[in-house]
Amino acid sequence: MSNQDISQLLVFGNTLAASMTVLALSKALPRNIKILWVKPSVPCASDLLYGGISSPEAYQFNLQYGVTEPQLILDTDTTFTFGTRYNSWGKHNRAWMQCFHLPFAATSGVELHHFMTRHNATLGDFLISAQAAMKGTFAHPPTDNLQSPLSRAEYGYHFDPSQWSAIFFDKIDKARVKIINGNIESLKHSQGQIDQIDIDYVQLDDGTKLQANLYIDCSGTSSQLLSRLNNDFVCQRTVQLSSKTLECAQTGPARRLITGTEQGWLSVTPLRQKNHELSLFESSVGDEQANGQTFTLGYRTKAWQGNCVAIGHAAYALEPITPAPYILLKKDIERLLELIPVNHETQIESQEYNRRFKDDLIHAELFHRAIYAQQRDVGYGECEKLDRKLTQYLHRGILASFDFEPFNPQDWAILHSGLGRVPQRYDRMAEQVDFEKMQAHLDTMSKGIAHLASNMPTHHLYLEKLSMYLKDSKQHGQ
Amino acid sequence: MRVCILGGGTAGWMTASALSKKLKNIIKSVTLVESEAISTVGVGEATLPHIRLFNETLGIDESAFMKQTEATFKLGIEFCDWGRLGDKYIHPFGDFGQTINGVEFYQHLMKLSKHGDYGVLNDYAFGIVAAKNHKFQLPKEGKTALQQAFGYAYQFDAGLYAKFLRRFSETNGVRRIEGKVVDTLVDAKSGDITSITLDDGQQIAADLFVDCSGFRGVLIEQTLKSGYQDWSNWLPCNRAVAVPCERQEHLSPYTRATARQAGWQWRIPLQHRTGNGHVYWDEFISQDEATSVLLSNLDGPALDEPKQLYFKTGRRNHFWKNNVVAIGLSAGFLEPLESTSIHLIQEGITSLLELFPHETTSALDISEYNSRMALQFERVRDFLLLHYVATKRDDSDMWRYFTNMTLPDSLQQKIDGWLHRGYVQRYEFGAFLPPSWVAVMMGQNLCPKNYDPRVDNSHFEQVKQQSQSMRADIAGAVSKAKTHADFLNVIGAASNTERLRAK
Repeated sequence: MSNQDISQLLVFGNTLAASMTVLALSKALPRNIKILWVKPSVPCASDLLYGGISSPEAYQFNLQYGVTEPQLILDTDTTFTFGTRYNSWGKHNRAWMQCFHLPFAATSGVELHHFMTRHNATLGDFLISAQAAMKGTFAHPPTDNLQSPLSRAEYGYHFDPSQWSAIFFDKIDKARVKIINGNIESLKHSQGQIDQIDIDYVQLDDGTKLQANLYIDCSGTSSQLLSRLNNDFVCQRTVQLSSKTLECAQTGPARRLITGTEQGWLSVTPLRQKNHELSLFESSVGDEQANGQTFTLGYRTKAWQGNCVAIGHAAYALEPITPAPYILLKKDIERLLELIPVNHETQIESQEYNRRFKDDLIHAELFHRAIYAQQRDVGYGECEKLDRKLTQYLHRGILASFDFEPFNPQDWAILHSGLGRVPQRYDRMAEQVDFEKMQAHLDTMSKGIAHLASNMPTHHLYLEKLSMYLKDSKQHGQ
Repeated sequence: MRVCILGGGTAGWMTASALSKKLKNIIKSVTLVESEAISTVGVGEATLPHIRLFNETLGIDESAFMKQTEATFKLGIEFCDWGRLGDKYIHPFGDFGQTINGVEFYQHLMKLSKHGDYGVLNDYAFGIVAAKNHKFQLPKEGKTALQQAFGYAYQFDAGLYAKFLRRFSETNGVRRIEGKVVDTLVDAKSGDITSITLDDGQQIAADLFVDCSGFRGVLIEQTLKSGYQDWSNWLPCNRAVAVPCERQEHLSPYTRATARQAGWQWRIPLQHRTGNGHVYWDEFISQDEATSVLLSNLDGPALDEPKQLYFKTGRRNHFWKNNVVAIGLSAGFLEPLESTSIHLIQEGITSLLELFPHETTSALDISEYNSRMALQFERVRDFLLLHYVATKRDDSDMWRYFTNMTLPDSLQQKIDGWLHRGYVQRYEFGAFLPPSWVAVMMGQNLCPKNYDPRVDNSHFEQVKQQSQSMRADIAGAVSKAKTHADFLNVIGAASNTERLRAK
């Protein structure tokens, strides 16, 4: 077994991706691998593309790197989210709550969504996270009472990327990571191993030249390192985003609101006593919007080329209509950690990284395509995988899946239901369950969930009490 | 909907059991046609842990089932002489050790092994240590996470399992008809089979036919001409000779697969006898020689005359075509090196239940079923092939054949990632999870050149202590566990049958 001969990594960018990546690398890698972080003074505007919403996995991801939920609640404007409420969506002005939820309970081996078809019921009525979000209430899912429907709920966070960047930055051991405030002006590259171009060094704005074994591009959509090696960006469409933050008397509900508009959509993300509003305009529908920033949505065919790997928006730009941008960032970092090169021969790592990157991206994008399918034409072309998913669902409620999709079967079932996609048939095994008994069970279940959701505290009250409790605990050193 | 299952082996009766139980009151009738005159192959007497779910969902009592099928518990497969002559390792059902700082234990062991004797991977799997000591206990009986981190399957008499399921199915309304198919009637317009005619003149009409007729594929191939993807360039063994023998005193809770010059030999210990077989490539060994190899490597005297089997590795182009679904050997054949035959039957049944037609079959159901099964077969194929190519053996023409083989890209990438850094390419849908790949690659001496760099981030002394604790935890628990035979007695699974003796 050979010695490990990777000695230096260089991360570039002032983005959420950069902070999270540097923290993760510094915690996961041995000290003999040095980490340089070249951090420009100005944060990158493309962090807007996270849409201020995480998936439920954020809790565990943050925790493993020392970022706790109490810190986020006390030190930032972070709030809880059960998901996204879509309003006035598409041709038929659909409205639904795209909530986070653990796998649905099965009855006689048949999944819940089949009974929705059989009993002509609405899935959202049976999901506590959907009901609570609609009623503006919140409570942590209990871990010691698995009988409670709330134990099946999952939650993520509404967050301000710049605040999260700062929290992650604070957690970085500054003795472990060498942070260089500056910008990369240029880079020199040359033909490296077979069929690949390697960066020889980067030159900062003060003239300093820096070398590393692996260059990690976290520079946001400008992709300042990777794009100079190979500009293979696949452009899908151009949109404009404008955002503003409005103070409000009390914190909003534990859900983001996305409303379809003629030009695109508008999202309202509740933070602590403020709302972050984000508007997306399709560039094809009109003139430039006031304060709008133009983003080209799409992706790079290879996120890792030679000795440079792009993380987050440096590799792709998806519209923040779902938590996909956050999910993909997390997956990027996990993939990178699993594939940190062991020596200068990085072909195996880059090939595998790119394979997984492509799968993750395509599968995340499938969900976005599904949101627009038969609702609004935003230029997506034919897609065999989506076709399989939609036809199978519409035919008989089959949730066709691919390996390790970023969105799970529950996400898909909720989306289909929300968009009014009703399967022609349901699982035949459902017929083994007595119709009347099942109907009674469903009635009881939906009433119980509605009752529970109504009796939970409001999100803003819950946050206030939680903050008080956390502050108190902190003061008493607990 | 009327269903007709053709063939009454393991595949036929498993299908009949599942359809009659799970779709009771939905299917108008389930008829199973079989002929006593046609012997069944009795695919795979060893299974994967997934079969427990199959039995559980049918409401089958484990002890009763084991008693009636002469079943034993299976904790894995011991592979002998695969990586090199004289080597042996066990591929268990479960993981090795516990992750340390988010990195799989085997990665830490690769580093540890450079600094002293920290045992081998096998010492860190409860299932393996128990298997080697002929011990068994249920995972839930373990007192630590490590003691619970294993799965188990069964080794049983496939013929008795079919009989057991026949009783189960008939109780659930399945009608069994004795007979051989002499003709099939196909609707010219749709291409569907409308009925089959038996040798006594009976016509059995059905809306859906499940072809469990074995290699012949009476409906899927002989009638509907599905076509066959021949994979014998990758898995060239094309024959097997099988014979039962008297069992050993110790009842091993594992299957054994021993590599031979032109194939490999299985040994499956049951309560009343031991099943054996020699899978071989007839290019390099004659039938007589193959039989001789088998007979000279038995635990005890043979109980019967050796039985020859002929096969071609591969799968049907269409597992489901028109109104015929092929399940079992009629769907395809992959040698039973990893006990996947019954598993693939189970996968087929599970998908059929989920995609069971309403009034008529639908192209969408057929295409979904075929996609799923194609993926399952392909992934098993790659895993089986790994055993032949992860080897230093070149002592016979067969082993030399594999040395120069161009592998499927999917497998080559896996091996490259492993050799470079012990990385296991994962998938979600398939029978074998990363620990299985690790077991075989490590077991057959595919040694990675490097370990995951994150390993060096863990405190070495602590890792040493943790690994020693893990080994001690497992060894201690195994020493207290019951013997396999005692465990069978205690749970009431011990058979009442006398051990079979050679005449």
